[in-house]
Amino acid sequence: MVIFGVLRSGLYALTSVGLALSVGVIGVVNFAHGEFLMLGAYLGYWLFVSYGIDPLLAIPIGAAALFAIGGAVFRAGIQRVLRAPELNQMLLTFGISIFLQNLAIILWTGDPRTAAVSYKATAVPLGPLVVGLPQLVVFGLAMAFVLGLYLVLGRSRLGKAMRAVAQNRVGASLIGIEVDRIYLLTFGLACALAGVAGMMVTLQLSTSPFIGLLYTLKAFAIIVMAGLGNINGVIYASLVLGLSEAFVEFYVPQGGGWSEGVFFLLILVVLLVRPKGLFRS
Amino acid sequence: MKGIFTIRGVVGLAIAAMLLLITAYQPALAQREPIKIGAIVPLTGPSGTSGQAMQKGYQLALQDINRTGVLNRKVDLVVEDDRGDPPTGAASFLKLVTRDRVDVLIGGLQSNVSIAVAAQARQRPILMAWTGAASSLVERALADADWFFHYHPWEYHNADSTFGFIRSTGAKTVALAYEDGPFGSGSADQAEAFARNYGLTITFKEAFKTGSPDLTPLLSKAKAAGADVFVFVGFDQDMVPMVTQARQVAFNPKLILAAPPSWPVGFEKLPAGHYVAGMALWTAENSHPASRRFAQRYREQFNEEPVSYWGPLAYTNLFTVADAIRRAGSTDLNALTGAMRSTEYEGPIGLPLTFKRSIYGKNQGFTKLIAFQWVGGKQVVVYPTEIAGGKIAYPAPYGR
Repeated sequence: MVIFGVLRSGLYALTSVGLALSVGVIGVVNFAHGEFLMLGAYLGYWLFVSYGIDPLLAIPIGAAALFAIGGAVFRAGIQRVLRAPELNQMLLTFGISIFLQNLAIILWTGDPRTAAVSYKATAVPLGPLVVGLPQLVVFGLAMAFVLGLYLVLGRSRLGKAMRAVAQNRVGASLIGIEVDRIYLLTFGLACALAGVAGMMVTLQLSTSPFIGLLYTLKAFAIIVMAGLGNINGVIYASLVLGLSEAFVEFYVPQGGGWSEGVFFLLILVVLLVRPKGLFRS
Repeated sequence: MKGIFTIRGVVGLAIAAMLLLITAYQPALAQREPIKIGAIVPLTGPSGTSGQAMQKGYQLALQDINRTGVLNRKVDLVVEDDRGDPPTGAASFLKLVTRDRVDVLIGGLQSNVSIAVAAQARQRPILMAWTGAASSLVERALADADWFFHYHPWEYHNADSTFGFIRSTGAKTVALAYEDGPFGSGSADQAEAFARNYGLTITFKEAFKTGSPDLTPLLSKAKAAGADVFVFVGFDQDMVPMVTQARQVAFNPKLILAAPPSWPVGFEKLPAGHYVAGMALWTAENSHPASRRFAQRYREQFNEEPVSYWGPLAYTNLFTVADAIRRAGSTDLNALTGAMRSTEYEGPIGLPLTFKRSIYGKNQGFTKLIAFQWVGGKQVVVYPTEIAGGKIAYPAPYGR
């Protein structure tokens, strides 16, 4: 149970850290975050089916593409409502979510599509257990991306600029940081991370226009548990969610039907008991 | 004689001539007014692919029907997209019946949409030749409706066919996993009783949420139950994680049997999907001559494989309705109801279609599903043996 819970937390962390960036640096709750994951999944699928490129090898292409798409969406829409009431921002991102989902349905139909990657069903022994190779690889890569992001945020000029903007936009602007450019880069980066997560989803599951919502909801649960804007807490919160779900699925009778409601319960508990999040920023 | 050449006479002759002309051309006018049939199908939404397959089936049927027409009239099909959404389905019904004034209503796929449509239909009875819905909630909603004709087997028919097939393999025990919505829960509710009827024991029964990315806990528990056959009732999006993660946890029952409404694109190429069995009304490997002809036409016309049974089912739906109108001699509801009741048709589904009473309903068409197994990327029919195109691989060589 622990192994399964930990393995699934990797993808959760990768999906959520982008959303945490949007919320923490830009201050925008991006309801379309899951749809960027969905676009990444489709890119991974079509690159595999059309050109035989393994989704893992296509990650750099996916990241670049989703970065560009995210940047374009930011410029065309989100930038215009940054100083508008938060409700306007949420409605806009919700509208973008609906638009992207329906665009995917029009372009590719609602039919789930599977990339028949040769190692999709391969398992590897891990001590007394046997675990899926895609799950193991996805966990490893996801953790690498998240830790890489932490390094960027902690050690690079760009990362420090992002943190400065997150702390105080006006102050950052006064010391010469181009706030709008940081916002653009942050949003692009958040979408790129979601897109990479989507390409990893292609390895394990079917792709369809509807896969984004589930990951958006889990990402929200994780960033609430971590504390809104607390990027550091995302890994721990992802572990909590992954292990909670696995515990319910393994030990609660009929737990398979209950486990997807775990994140709702966690959001409720955290908001009532510790609204600033479970983990320190 | 002199009288007809007066002004009155000439006018009278002219009026008579006009009346004669109008009467003579009446059949031609009537010929130009088409018979309108309305169809409610999900062209978009989660069942969009199946709905689009239905639309293609209707197109093929319409070509055949309009070669000769019906009662010297062309048939027009007005298609409304219910988007898999019950309120949209209800609105589609109202539009077709009150604005388009269709003579007959066909279509239907999802049970929840069918329930919404049924509520409207009770207030405005029209001949409903309904392809879809497996939930017997729909059957109960229209239990006393003479004008409701249902083509797809009800869920208890599906359960009966499924457990009959399982029994035929020699299996004794079953592990059942089902999605916790109406589709899965409805099937699970029937399962125990039907299993008992066929001398089978359900050793494991658990729900899951459709769309769950990780089914390994569920599959690990099912593996521990040690049943001969694993029955998985879910949607197309659940099939890939189920088969791949079953391999990953080395869950190798003697047979995996799944029955999604349709299969994901590319599933046939997935090695983990080999030898998984399924239940369906029809597959493209069906050996019936009408079925082969349909499949061939479908490929030629649409440049794609007919992977779902909704295409031939829709063809059957429209074709039999047109035939009933022809036999009734009109679109009068009573006459049409009588003609539909006497339908005897064997077409691309490859099974004979007649309408008989079911548990709650008055006019039920198909009552059996066939079983197939994925072999070499094809859905080879393995049950019933009379129409089988191959022998079932049981125990299936999963993980070998």
